[in-house]
Amino acid sequence: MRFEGRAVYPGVVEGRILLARHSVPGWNAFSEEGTIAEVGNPLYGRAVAGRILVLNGSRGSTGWGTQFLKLRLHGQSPAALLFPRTDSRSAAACVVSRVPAVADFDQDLFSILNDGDMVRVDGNTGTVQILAGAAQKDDECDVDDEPPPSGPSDT
Amino acid sequence: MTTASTPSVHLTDYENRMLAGEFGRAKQKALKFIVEYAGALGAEHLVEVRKAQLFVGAHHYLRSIESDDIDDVISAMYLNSDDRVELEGFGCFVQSDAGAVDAERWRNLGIEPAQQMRNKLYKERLRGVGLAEGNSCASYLIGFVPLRGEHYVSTESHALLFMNAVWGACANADSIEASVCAAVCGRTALWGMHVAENRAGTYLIEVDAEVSSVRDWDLLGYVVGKSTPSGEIPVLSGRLPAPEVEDLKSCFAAMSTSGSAEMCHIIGITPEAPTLAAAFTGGAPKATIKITDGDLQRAAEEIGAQGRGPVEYVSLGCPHYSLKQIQYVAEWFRTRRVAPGVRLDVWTAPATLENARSSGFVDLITAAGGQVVTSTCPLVSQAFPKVDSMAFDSIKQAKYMASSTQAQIFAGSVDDCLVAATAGSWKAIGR
Repeated sequence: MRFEGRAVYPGVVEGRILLARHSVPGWNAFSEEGTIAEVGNPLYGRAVAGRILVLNGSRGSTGWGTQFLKLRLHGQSPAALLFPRTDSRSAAACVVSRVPAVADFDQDLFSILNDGDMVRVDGNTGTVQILAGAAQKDDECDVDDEPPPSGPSDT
Repeated sequence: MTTASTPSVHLTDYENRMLAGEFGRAKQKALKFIVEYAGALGAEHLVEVRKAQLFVGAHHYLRSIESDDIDDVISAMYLNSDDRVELEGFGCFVQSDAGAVDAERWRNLGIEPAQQMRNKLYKERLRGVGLAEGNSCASYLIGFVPLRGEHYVSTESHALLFMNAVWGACANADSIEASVCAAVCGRTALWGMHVAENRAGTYLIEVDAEVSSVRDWDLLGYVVGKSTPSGEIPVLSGRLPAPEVEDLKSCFAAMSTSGSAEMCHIIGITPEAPTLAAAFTGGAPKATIKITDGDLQRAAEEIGAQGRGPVEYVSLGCPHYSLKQIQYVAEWFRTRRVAPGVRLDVWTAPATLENARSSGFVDLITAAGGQVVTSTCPLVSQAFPKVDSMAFDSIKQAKYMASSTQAQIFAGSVDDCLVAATAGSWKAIGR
């Protein structure tokens, strides 16, 4: 399955989806280990490195982009960033992250994608292709050792 | 290394010359960032910015770059540059946001001498290229006044929301890096709140709740922020009294903590919303959300600990207090004292501190055992005592501090906090 958005930052990458339906805050979003650090966030403790991180917009401080800059400087960046809709914080975060990014999709990402889906993100054309669903996990495609989540990823 | 494609961004001759490096490498790097950012947004043009409020100083997060060379850090952390460039000047007026250190009272806050020295060097470096010291998040209280239609940038999310909403000024809450780059090159993306037709309300918020105190406005802001999706513009209507500046200061601080609003209309109050029709520029809201007393109560229960308990640290002034708020605290302590074993910090801008001092307010608070401190806050400075319990009169501070400390955190009204500071325990009941 393939769907289209607006190309935001160039590059092509494959990786597994991490759905952040509630996004992350603009302050202390990630721990030093690169895991989501917001108390109460359904993704608390989940690592973002190497993931295709789908963020439901930005939230909180203008330090939002800085959270992603720190990830890059510590080698913990997501493999790509997907945003259902562009906002000013998310665009700035894409520039400092320097990873392929696509936004402004013609379909609802959160109803199409599941945590752990293997996808290819093309930040040059704005195309996202699902290569394998979370249930069809292929070891060759695996990007980390984390098991797929057992329940709803982010409610 | 890849760079963002920017086919959609049209530059003027002056901007092209800057991008080619004619005005120095720092401006070149800054404009390169802004052009990439504009491309990421899908913006077609840039716009000149006249003033900037910037979060600059020896902030803890800058230590991601292991270097004592300030230009190394500025290059990597602000200008998105892998090469070291030297900042030679700004492209507009620049006033500092709240920073990492109170340069006068750092010892009282437990800030290490090395951190004070580091911050001093940062500030000297930046003053050397034109930084004006404001040192407050609530810049709009101390003379940073972009007027209606004026383009500016700000690293302070709540101040930006205030200035956009209350004065009709134009900025996006994009990022620290985008704001610094815009300040250096004097340009930002002509997108979002910089474009008049994008400023119309999209979400109608019908308030059917008792909103009669700063605390109520704080809670209302939190609920509105949580209820308004990213990219939408809330329009507040309903049972709302005319707010004072302190009400909106707290409302917008909470709103920009729980959400990402960059603009907010209040019917009959903010200049672009004299009527409901004007706020939506004749269109219909995408959604209508009703906020009740129950919603505010649930927000109060979500932020901070419930019930009673000892309090060892009380922090007032997020966002930085106005002179009126300092007077209120001073009057409370005219006949009372801070309980033994409790530390009370009252945060404000350095300029406001001087007014509070000459008004006698600082002496009253100091004599009671508290202190008035400036330029930073517990969250930004990380200068808070290592205690087991804290109290804040700010949802923003309470919410963000929860990820900085294991201490039990109470959040409530200023009166709740003053009672706690005087008694050494939290007794707040209700919201």
